[in-house]
Amino acid sequence: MKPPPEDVWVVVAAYNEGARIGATLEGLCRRGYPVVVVDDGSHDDTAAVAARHPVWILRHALNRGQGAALQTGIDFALRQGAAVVVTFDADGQHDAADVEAVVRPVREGAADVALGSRFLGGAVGLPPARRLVLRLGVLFTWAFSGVRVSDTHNGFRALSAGAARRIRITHDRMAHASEILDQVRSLGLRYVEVPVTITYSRETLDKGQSSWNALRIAGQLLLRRFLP
Amino acid sequence: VNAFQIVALSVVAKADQLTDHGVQVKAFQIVALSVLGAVLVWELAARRRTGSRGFWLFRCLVWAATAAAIADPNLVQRVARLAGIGRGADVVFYLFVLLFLAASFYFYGQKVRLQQQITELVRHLALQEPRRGTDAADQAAPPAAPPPGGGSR
Repeated sequence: MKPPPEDVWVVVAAYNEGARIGATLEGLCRRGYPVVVVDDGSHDDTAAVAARHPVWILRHALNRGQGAALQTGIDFALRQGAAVVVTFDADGQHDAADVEAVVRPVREGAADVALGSRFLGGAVGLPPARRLVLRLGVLFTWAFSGVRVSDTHNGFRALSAGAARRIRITHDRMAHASEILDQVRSLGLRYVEVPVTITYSRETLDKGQSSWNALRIAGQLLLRRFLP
Repeated sequence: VNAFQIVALSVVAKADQLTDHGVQVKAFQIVALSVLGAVLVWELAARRRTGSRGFWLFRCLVWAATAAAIADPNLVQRVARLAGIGRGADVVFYLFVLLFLAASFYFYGQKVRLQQQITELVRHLALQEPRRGTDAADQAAPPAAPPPGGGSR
C-alpha cells in the first residue's frame, strides 16, 4: 500500500463513542492518515480511547452536535495545512479502505466535494424503514437545495481545502448534512458521488438517529431558511 | 392630556352610571387601573435605566392602551366596529395571536443566534488546546497555527 499524502486530513466527530472509536481510529491510523478527533463533550471515555492513537484530539467543553464538531475539526485541519479534508463517522459505520476512493476525485481536481453514497456502494444491515427515510431525504434535498444526489445524510465526504474554507456549517446538529449540500449548490462547487460501504450494527442503530428525527431536521432547515 | 388623565376621566365618567352590575365592573377597574398606573409610573421612573428607547415606548403604549380599554370597555368595541371585526373581544384575541406569533419567531431567531454564539465559543476553546494522542513521536505535526485570513468567519 502506498503511503497516503500527509495533507489528507480525516475529521472524526465523536460523542460517547468510547466503545467504537478505537476500531475506527485503528483503521484510519493503519493507513497513515493524519486524524483529528473532536470529542463533542462526551461523558464516556471517548477522549481517553482516542488518546491511545496517534491522532489529534480537540475537546468541546459542551456537547454542540455533530455539525459543530465537524466544523471545529475542519478548522483545525485547515490550520494544519490540509489540502483535502475527509469527514468520517466515529461509530464504525464507514470503512477506512474507502477513504482513498472518496479523496481521489478531489485530489485529481475533478471535483471540489466528493460525497460518499451508500446507495451507489453498499449498505450492510440497513433496515427498510431507514432506507425509506433516507430516500425521502433525497427527495427533500432535491426540492430544498436543488441538489440531486442518491444519498443525503451520509457523513463520509471529502472537501478540497478551498471548498472546506468556503463551506461554513451553522446547523450544529444533524441538519448540517443537508446544509452542506445546500452550500455546495449555492457556492457553485463541483461535486461527485462516490460509492462507499456503510455497515449498520445493532449498536449504531440504537445510538444513532431515530427516523422521526428526519422530520425535525426538515423543520429546522425550513425555519432557518426564513429567519435572518 | 396624558394617559393618566384619560384613565382617570374615564373612571369618573363610569362612576356616574353605576348599576349593580356596574359596581362589580368598577371594582375590577379600580384594581386593574391602580396596578397599571403603578406599572406606568415605574416605567417612567426607570426610563433612564432601560436600554432601548423604542422598546420602552412600546411598553408604555401597551400599558396605556390596556388602561384605556379597561377604563372604557366600549372603546375596544368601537375599534372593532371601525375595523369591521364586530366583537371587541375578537380584536383583543386577534392582537394576541399576532403578538404571540411575532414573539415566537423573534425568540426562535434569538435562540438560534445564542446557540451559534455558544458553539463559536466552545470551538474557540477547543482549538486553543489541541492534544496529541500517544505514539505521537513518529509523526510530529506542527502546533496549531493562526487561521489564514485571521478568523473563522
